[in-house]
Amino acid sequence: MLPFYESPLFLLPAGPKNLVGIFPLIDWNNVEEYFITLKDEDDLPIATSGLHAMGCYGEDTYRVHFLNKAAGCFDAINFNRVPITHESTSSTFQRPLPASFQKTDTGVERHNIKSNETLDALSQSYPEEAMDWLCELADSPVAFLEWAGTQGQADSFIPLVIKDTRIIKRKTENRFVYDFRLQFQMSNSNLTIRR
Amino acid sequence: MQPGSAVTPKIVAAYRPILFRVSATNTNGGPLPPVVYCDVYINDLYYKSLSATQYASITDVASEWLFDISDICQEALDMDVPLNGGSALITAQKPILKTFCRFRASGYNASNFVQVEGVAPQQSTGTMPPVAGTGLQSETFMVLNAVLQHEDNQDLVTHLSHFRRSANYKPDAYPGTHRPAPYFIGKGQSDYFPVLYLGDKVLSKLCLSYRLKGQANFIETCFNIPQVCNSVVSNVTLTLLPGNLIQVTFESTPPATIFEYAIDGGSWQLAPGTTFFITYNDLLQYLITESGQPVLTDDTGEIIIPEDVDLYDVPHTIEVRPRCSNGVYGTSDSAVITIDSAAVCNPPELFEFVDINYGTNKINFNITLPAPHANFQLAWSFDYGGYLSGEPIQDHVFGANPFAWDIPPGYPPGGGSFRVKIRTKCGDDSFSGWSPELIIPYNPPLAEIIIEVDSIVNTGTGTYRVIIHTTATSMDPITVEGYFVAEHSSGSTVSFNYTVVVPAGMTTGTAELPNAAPGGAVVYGGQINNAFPDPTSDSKNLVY
Repeated sequence: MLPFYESPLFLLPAGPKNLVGIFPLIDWNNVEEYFITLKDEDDLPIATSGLHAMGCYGEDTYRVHFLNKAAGCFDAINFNRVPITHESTSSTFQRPLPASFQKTDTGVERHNIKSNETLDALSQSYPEEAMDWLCELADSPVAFLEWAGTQGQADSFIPLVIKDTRIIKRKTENRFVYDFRLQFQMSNSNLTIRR
Repeated sequence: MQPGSAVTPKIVAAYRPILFRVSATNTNGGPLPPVVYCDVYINDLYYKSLSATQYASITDVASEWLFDISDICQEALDMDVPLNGGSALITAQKPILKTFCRFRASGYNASNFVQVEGVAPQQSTGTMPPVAGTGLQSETFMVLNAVLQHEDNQDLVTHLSHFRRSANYKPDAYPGTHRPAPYFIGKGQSDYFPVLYLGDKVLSKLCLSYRLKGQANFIETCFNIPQVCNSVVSNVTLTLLPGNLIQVTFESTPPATIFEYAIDGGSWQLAPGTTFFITYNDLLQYLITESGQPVLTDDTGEIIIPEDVDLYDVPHTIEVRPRCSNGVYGTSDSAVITIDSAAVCNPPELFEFVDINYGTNKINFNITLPAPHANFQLAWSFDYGGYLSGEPIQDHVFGANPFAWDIPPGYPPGGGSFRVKIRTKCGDDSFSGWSPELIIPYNPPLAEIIIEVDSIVNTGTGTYRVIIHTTATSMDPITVEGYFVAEHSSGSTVSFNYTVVVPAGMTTGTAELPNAAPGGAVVYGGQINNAFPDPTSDSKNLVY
C-alpha cells in the first residue's frame, strides 16, 4: 500500500532566500547558523536538516547546484572569487583585394568564431570527511549556476558543463584544508555574429 | 523474488540491479516456455517490455527466469529543478517512480508458432495512450534516482539512514542527500533540503531553528503548511470513442499539478493529464479488481467478465480530483457515462480454424461474436507462389459453430494458403476492428491416377486410339487433364495435350493420337498440378 502522498520525495525550502518568504521577520544578517525541521500534525519531527552555517558570501560568490547521488535531487556548493576566462577560437580566410581598393578593404578575415567562458572555481570550506560528497559534484551529469536575474528578468539557474578533473580526496599532510577545484564552462556557448 | 527492502512501500535505487526471478511453465504443458515477457509499468502506465528466451534454471516442473529492469527505470527517471528562491514545499515527481511488472509466459499454437499468453500491452504513440495488458502482476515498489556504490549498504533506506545529521527523524523518514553538516550557505542564496518520507502523517509545519551571532541558544519559529488546496476541477467530460476507449477531459484551476481519478467510488488512480484515456481493458480490470476478484483471461487472452461485474448498460461515474503539493486535495468533479452494449462494436471474441473439407470445398471456423451481434464481414486472400489475390470482403450471418465458409470458385490453382480475417458488423456503417488474420495452408490431395494402356488400335491411316484407364480418388466429379507424349520408335517425339473428362463412376476414357507414325508409343498421363508428380505411364506397341 502506498503512502498518503503519491511521491514520498519532498524538497523543503532551506536557503535563506527560500525562507525569507516564510519567515519575513528574521534578520539574516545576524543569523550564525540554523536548521529546519518538518513536523507532523502532532507537532513531532518528521525530518530535520543538518546545520546550515552562514558564510561570508557576496557578489563574487558563485553557487553551483548539482544532482546528488542520494536521491537525484539538487545540492549546492559555494565558490568564492572565481576567475572567469573568456576563450574564443576561429578560422581565417583571405579575400582578394580589387585593383582599386579602399583603405577599409580587408585581406585576411576570421570566421567560424566560437567562444565560451571557463570558470575556475575553488572551495576550501569543506573538510576531508566531505570529499565523497564534493566528488558527487565532480561526477554530476548536470550543474546549474544560481543566477540573479539581470535586465529585469527573474532569478533562475544557468546550466554549466563540468570539465573533467582530478581531485585529491586524501592528502598525507596539511589535511585540515582541502582545495576542491573544478572548472566549469557555460553549457550554452556565446553566439557570435558574421559580417 | 521481487525487488525492494522490508519497508513498505518498497523502494530501490535505480543504479543497482532491480531483479525479478519468476517461475514459468509452457502454456501447452511442460516446464519450458519459448519466451517469457516482463512488461514494465511506470506510474500505472505501461512503458516497455523485456523478453527472455534463456531461463536461469529449470526443473521437471517449471523454469525460472531473471529480469533486470534497472535500465528501463533509469531511462524513465528525470530531475526536478526547483524554483530559485521558491518558498513552497515541493513534491518531487521526476526523480522517483512507482513501478510494477506483469509477466506473461508462452507456448506454441497448432501451427507451431509461438503464442504468448494473455493480452500484450501496447506502448503509447504520439497520439494514442499506452494500453495495459494482462499477466501475473508483481508487487508495486518505488524506484529512486539514486546510486549505491559497491561499498554502500545495498538496502537503499538503510544506506540513507546513515546520513541523518540529526536525531530528529521518524523511522520512516530519510534525507535525500549525503551533504555534510555544517553545510555552508550565504544570505540571499537558494537551497532545498530533500526528504524521503514513507509514512502517512500529514506534513503540518516547517520550523526554522536559528542561532543569532553571539547567542548560545537556538530560537524556533514555525510556519503552518497550508492544509488547503484551492484547486478546482470542473467540466469533466467523458466521450466514448471507437474501440470502447473512454476519453476523459477536464479543466482545473491552479496550483495543483497532480490529478487523480476514481471509477464508481473505487480506488484513486493517477491521471496522466487533463486529457487521458481509459481503455476497455483498463475499465474492465479496474471494475474486476474493485470487486475483489482476480483478473482472469481465457485461452485467447481476453479478460473473462465475472457475472457480478456490470460493464455495459449501467452508468459509471468517473470522478477527478486535484492534489496540491502539500498533499491536500482540492475540489473534485465527476461525470457519468453509460456504455450501451448495443452501440458498442467489439471485435469478434473468437475466430479459430477448425478444418478443411476438400470434399465439400469448405473451410470450417469456430466463431464467437460479441452479444448481441450476429452479422460479420469476412475478408480473404490467397497466397499462391508469393502472389496475393487481394482482399475481397463478404457479408455473412453467423448461425452456429462450426461456420462453414465456401471456398471461392476457381481455387486452388495449385497449393497455397488462404488468409482470412473477420470483423463484427454492428450496423450498416459500423464495424469493429479486424480479428487477427488466420493463415490456412490449402493443399488438396492429389488424385491418384493410374493410367493403363490397354491397347493402341490402328483404326486407319494416321489415327490411333488409346484406351486408358484412370482411377481418381475422393473427388466427385473431377476433371483430369492429361498430358500425353507419344514417342516414335525413331526417337522423335510428338506431344499432344488432351483433356480426358472422367465423369463420376467411370474409370475409362479415350484419347486419339492423329498422325502418329507406325511404331511403338509410350503414353504418359498425370494430373497437372503445381506439384506435378512423375506421370504414370504405360506403353503398347502400335498394332497395325
